[in-house]
Amino acid sequence: MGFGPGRSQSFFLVLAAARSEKLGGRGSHVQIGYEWQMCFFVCLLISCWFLGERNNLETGRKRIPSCSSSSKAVLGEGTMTYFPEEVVEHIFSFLPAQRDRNTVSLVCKVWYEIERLSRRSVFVGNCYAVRAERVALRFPNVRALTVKGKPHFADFNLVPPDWGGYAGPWIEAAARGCVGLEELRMKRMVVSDESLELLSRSFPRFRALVLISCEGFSTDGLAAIASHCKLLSELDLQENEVEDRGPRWLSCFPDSCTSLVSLNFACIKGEVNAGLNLSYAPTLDASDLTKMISRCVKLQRLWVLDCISDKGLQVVASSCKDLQELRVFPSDFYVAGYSAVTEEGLVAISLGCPKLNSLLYFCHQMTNAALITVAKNCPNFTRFRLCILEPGKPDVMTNQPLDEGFGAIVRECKGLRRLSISGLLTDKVFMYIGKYAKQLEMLSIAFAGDSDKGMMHVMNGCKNLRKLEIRDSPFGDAALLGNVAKYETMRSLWMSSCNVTLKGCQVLASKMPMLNIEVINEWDGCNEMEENHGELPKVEKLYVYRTTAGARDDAPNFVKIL
Amino acid sequence: MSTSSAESSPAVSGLDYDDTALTLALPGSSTDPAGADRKRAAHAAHDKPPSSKARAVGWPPVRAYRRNALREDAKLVKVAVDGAPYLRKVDLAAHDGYADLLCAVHGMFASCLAIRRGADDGTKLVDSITDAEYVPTYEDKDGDWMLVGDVPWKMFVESCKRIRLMKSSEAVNLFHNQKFVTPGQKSAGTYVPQLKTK
Repeated sequence: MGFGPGRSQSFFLVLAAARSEKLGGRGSHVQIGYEWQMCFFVCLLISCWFLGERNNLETGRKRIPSCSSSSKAVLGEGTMTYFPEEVVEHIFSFLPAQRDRNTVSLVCKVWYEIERLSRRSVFVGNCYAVRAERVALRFPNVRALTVKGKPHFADFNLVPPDWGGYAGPWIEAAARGCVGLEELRMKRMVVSDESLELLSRSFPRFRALVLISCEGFSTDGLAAIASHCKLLSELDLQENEVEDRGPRWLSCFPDSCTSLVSLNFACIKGEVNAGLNLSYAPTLDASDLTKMISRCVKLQRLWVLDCISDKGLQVVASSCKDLQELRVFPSDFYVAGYSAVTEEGLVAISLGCPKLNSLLYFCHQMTNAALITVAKNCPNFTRFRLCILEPGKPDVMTNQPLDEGFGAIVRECKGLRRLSISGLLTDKVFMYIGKYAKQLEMLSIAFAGDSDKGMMHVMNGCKNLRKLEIRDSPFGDAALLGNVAKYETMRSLWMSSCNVTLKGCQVLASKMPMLNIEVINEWDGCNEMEENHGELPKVEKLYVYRTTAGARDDAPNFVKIL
Repeated sequence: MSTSSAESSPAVSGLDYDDTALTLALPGSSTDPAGADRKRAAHAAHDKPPSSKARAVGWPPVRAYRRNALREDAKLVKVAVDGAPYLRKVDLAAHDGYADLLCAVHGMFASCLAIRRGADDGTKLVDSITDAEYVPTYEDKDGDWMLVGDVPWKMFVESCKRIRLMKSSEAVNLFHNQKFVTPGQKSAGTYVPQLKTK
C-alpha cells in the first residue's frame, strides 16, 4: 500500500525536524509552532497505534516487541536510523505524559532506547509493581522520581504496621544508577534516617524532597538533608509520622543557604489567593472565618473544618467564584454526632461555584435531591468524595438509599476520575457506576451493596478503573473471580472485611500469575477459636496488584503472598 | 434495601461501654473486632441503642495525623515491647477499655505478638515465635511501674505515661524485688521506692 504507517511516520518526523530547526527550537513563534507540533503528535500517535496493532500489543502490557519481520517490511531497514537520535529525542520531549512516552517506547527497540535515555520523570504508582533496580537501569538519566507505597486505606490504619513499602531499595537503586536525580516524591512509604542520609549524599544536584503520609524517620534524617543538599529548594513534608528529636535539624541549613524557596512542614501553606488550609484550626470563630473567606475572592482551593457550617459555606459560595477544590473535614469523629454542615451547604456551594471540580465532604446527613441538584449544577467534577459519617445511613428525608443521588453524579459528571461513596447504598448504585462512570479511575466503597452483582457491575463497566478499594461490603469469591482479566489493567484492588475466602484467593492466584495476591491476616490463631458454622474462613484483608517483580521478599509474617 | 442497616450500622458495635472489669479478658468470645462486630451488631442492637462513641476501625476515613491534631484530649503514650526493634505510640483516649487497648497493641506489633486465650478465659499477648508470655506494665505519673489492668480504665488513662510489655520472666524478677507497686501499697504509702527504670 502506498502510504502505510511507516511512511507516514517518516513524513512527519521530517516535517517536525524541519519545523523545529527552522523555528530555532522551542519557544520561538510559539503560536504557529504549537499547531504544527500538535498535528505531528496526532499523526505520531496514530502511527504508533497502527504499529502497535500490527505487533499485537495490548494496552497495559509492557513487553518490548522484537521488530517482527512484518514491521521491518513496513519500516524498511534503517528507516528509524535515518534521523539523528537528537532529533527523535527532541520530538519525544514534547510528550510530557508518561503514558505517551511508554507508548512510543513500544514501537521498536531504537525508539525504546532513545526514549529511556531521555526520560526525565518517572512515576511508580505501586512500589511493588516493578523492581527498583530495573527502573534505575532503564532510566539512568531520570531527574524526578515519584514512588507510592502502601495502599490508600493504610492512611486509616487498615494496613498493619510493618506491612512494607520501604523506601530504602528505591533510594539505594537510584544512588547506584541515577546520580542526576533532582527531585524525589514519596507517598505512604517507610523512610529511614539512613535512607535520608544516603539520599543527602548521593545526588549532587538534588533540590526537591516531598514526603506525604510517610513514616519511619526522625528529625535526624531531616538534619542530614538540610546539611548536605546544597541546592535544596523545596522541602515539603505533609502528614508524616516523624519522630521529633528536637529543633536542632532546623539549624542544619547552612548559613549560606539561599536556595530554599518552599518549606512546608506545618499545615498552613500556600498564599491566600491560590489556596487556604484552615483544616487544623478548630478554635477559629465561625464568623471571623467567614469574614476572612469572603475577602478571598480569587480563592481556588479551600480546606476547612465543618465548624464553618452551612451558613459559612453560603458565604464561600457567594464570594469565591473561582473555587475549584473544596475539602470540609469533620471536627467531631463520633458517627452519631452532630455536624454544622449538611446537604444544604453542599447545594449552596454547587450553586455558587461553577468551576468546582474537586470535592471532599464529611457530613452527617445527605439526600438524593441534594446530590441530584449538585450533579446538575457542577457537571465538571473530576474528584467527588462524600463521606457520611454514619455507615449505611439513608436519605435523611425519604429514608431511601442514596443510589439515585450518586447515580446522578456519575451520569452528569462525564469526566469523573475519582469517586468515594457512603451512606445506605444497594447494588443499584453500582449498576449506575458501571453504566456511566466511564472515565473513573479510582473508586472507594465502604459499607455498601447487597451482593456480588454490585462489584461485578463496576468490574465490567468501568473501563478506565485503576484502583478499587472496598471495605465492609458483602462481596465474595464470585465477585472476586468474575472478571479476572480486569486485574491486569488495574493497579490494585483492596478488599477488607468482605466475604472473600482463602479458596477464592487461591483460585485467583492460579489463574493470574502476573498478580500478587496478598492475604493479610493479623489475627492469626484467633480465627480458629471462632465458631465456624461450617463456613470457609474469610480473608480479613486482601490486596491484589499487578507486578513484573514477582512475590516481594520483604513481606512480614502476617502477609501471605499466594 | 440493605438489611444490615436496619437499626445500627453493621460494623460498629458494642465495644463502647466502660470496661471496668479488672481483667484482660475480652467481653465476647471473639478477638476479631471487624468480623465479630458484624455478627455482634445484631446483639448490640437489642442490648443497647447505638452509642455516640461507637466506631469501626479506620472510620471515618481521616488520616491519623489529622485525628491527633484535632483531639485536644489526645493521650499519646509510647508502647515498648521487650525484644522488638521499634517503639509505637498509642492514643489511650481513642480506646474504650483494656480489651480495646490490647487489640490495638497487638495490631501495632503484629509481627512479634500473638494473642492467646488462657485457661481462665483471659486473653494474653505472647511472643509469636516462642509463645513466651508478655506482662503488660506501665509507668504512672509518679514514675512507678504498675501492672496494666489493676485500676479502673479511666484512672489508667489519666495516670499512664508509657507502656512496656515485659517478658514475664523479667516481670517476675521485678515483682519479687518489690519494684512493682500495687495500688494498695501506693495508697497506704508503705512501698519501697524502686530504682529508676529506663
